Amino acid sequence: MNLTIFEQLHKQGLISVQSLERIKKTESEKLFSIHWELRTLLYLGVLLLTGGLGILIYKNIDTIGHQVILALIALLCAGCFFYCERNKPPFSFEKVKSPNVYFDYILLLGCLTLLTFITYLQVQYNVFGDRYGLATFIPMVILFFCAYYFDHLGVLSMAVANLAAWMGIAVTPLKIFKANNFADAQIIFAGLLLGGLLVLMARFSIIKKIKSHFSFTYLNFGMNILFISCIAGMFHFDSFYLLWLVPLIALVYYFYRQAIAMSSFYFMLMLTLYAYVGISYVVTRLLLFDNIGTTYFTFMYFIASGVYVILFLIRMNKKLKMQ
Amino acid sequence: MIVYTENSLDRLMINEEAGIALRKQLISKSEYDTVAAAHAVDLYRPNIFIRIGLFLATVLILPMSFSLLMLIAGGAFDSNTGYFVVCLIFSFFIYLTLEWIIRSKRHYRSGVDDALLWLTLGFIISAVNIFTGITPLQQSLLFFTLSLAATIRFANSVMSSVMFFSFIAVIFYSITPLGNIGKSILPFVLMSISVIIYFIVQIYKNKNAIRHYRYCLKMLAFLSLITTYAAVNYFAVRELSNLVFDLHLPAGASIPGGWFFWLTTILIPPLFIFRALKTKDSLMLRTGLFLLAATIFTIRYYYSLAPVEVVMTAGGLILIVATYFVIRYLRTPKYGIADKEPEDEDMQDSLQLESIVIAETFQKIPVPGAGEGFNFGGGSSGGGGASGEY
Repeated sequence: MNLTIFEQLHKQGLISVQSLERIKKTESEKLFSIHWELRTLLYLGVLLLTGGLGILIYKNIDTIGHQVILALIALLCAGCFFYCERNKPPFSFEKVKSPNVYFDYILLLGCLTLLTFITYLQVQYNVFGDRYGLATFIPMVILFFCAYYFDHLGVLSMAVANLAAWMGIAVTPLKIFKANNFADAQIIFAGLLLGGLLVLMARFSIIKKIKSHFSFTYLNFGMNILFISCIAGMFHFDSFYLLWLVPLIALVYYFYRQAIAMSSFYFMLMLTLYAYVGISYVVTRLLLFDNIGTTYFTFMYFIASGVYVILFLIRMNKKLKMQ
Repeated sequence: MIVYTENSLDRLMINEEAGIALRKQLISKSEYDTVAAAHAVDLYRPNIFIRIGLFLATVLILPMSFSLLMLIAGGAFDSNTGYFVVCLIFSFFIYLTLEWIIRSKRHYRSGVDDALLWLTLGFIISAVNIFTGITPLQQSLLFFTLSLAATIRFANSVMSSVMFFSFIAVIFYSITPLGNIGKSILPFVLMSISVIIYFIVQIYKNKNAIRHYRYCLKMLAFLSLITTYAAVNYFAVRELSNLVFDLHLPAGASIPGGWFFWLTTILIPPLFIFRALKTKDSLMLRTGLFLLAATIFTIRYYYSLAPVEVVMTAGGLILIVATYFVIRYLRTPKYGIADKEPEDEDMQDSLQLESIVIAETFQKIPVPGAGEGFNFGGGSSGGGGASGEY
């Protein structure tokens, strides 16, 4: 903190002597904290160690044997859950603060080793056979349970990703474009269904006051999946692309209301971008309907619509800030 | 000089400082409110998400306008010189818009001004590159002149990094034609220039007259530390002289004076870390840690001491044990160094971010690449420089 600024503020009579003294005292006693550096190093160490051990085991699989490795993973997993169970704060439907810094990471490690264990069983011993649904369903249930039981947003995200995997989609934001080509009508409708379900979950968490701080995660996943499925539907069902404007506009309206209600700039930006992509697709297709003369209008459309987006965002910024 | 009214920027700074003091509960809410009312900020600074949206929309509009202009009137200039002049005139108009939007609409890091600034430079530089044959030296001089002017005028920290790198490029391209002497003194010249820049920044960083450039100075300090190391890093020197100066070294052969570069490669990061702990400079500490990783990679690149998994396992183990003991040792602060969570961190936001990051990281099968995970926060002072979280 800049002491001269506060001295000036004091001279102008805006802050009291006590406050100034307090600031000076804090500033003179200020310690150099290397908290985040140490945490990053610790995290890095864990990454290196697990990576290194993983390769070591992989290279020596013949001498170690699968059972031993499975037993080790199970032991690690059980240990993590044992620790979490011993140290967890009492359950509540409200938000619960984690007891210490390590708790969250140990729970995460437990869930990850659990997933590894189940995958290992399936790959090596084909436990679930061809019932792949079951192989994703069981970890999904466990993850959802852990997320609610131990109150962990990261585990919740993993559970939602697993739910999507169960429904046939990989939902993690980065992979959403790479892994799915969206050429499949089935996937598009599954996406709409999943997105709708997640949005309902978000509402449900708030209304029933069951872990209401989870609603952001649900709504975020739900919004992205719904919009992307909707725009993908527009591209895929070529002859009905105009029809897809209806659900798109309905979604925009719904999330606009949500964004206003939560004063969320993030949702406002996302809905603007998705709506812009969808509407611009329709407009360019209408304008460029095998007629090169309309190229002028296409450019003009982009200029005018860009200006409108700017004005809209500026207005929304004001509106959301007022709340 | 700077395009913004200094008074507005001062008010902004006072508000930010008062905000920090409020979060640390050093001043009361009513005191904060009186300060904020007495020093009301008259700059237009939208929320970060709105800023992203405004940036994207502006980046969409201008090339579209340019294309439309070319479509309508493109036939009129049928020579390259004509196009060149039109591009320059267009970038001049973008610049005028930028000045206007800042001076009369009072935009400050709003997304619109960011986009206009980068588009101005983008148009000039692409026009020069497309329509004129330009040597690398002239190119870096062009970059340097433009980014220097833009940094002084708009105090943009990302722009100051462009300025820094183009300055290094100017030095590089002016020394290399000097023949063998030039090539052999190049690392030392680059290193000394970086060190000089670092110390100049250290001297001036707290000067009141240039307070509005503080993020630029921070960026320059960070980059000059990096280039100080990179200029005399064994890997950089060897591979660069091989590549650029056609040295044709056989694999395994060392460069002349190789022992010296090994010495600097190994010594500089610990030196940074030591000095950072002594002067309590977190920027330097993070840079030092990051460079330590670079040194380890450099050594492993030339000398394979053990298979990678053994190095990873042992290194991970050493790191965990060492950090564990440091954390225990620092349970009570020693020498003014502590292991305490910084108070002015917006925990709510970082928690929600964390859940996204976790979903991102762990959905993939972990790739055993030691290269991952070295993302220290060293560069976070960039990002347009306005976010204020460095």
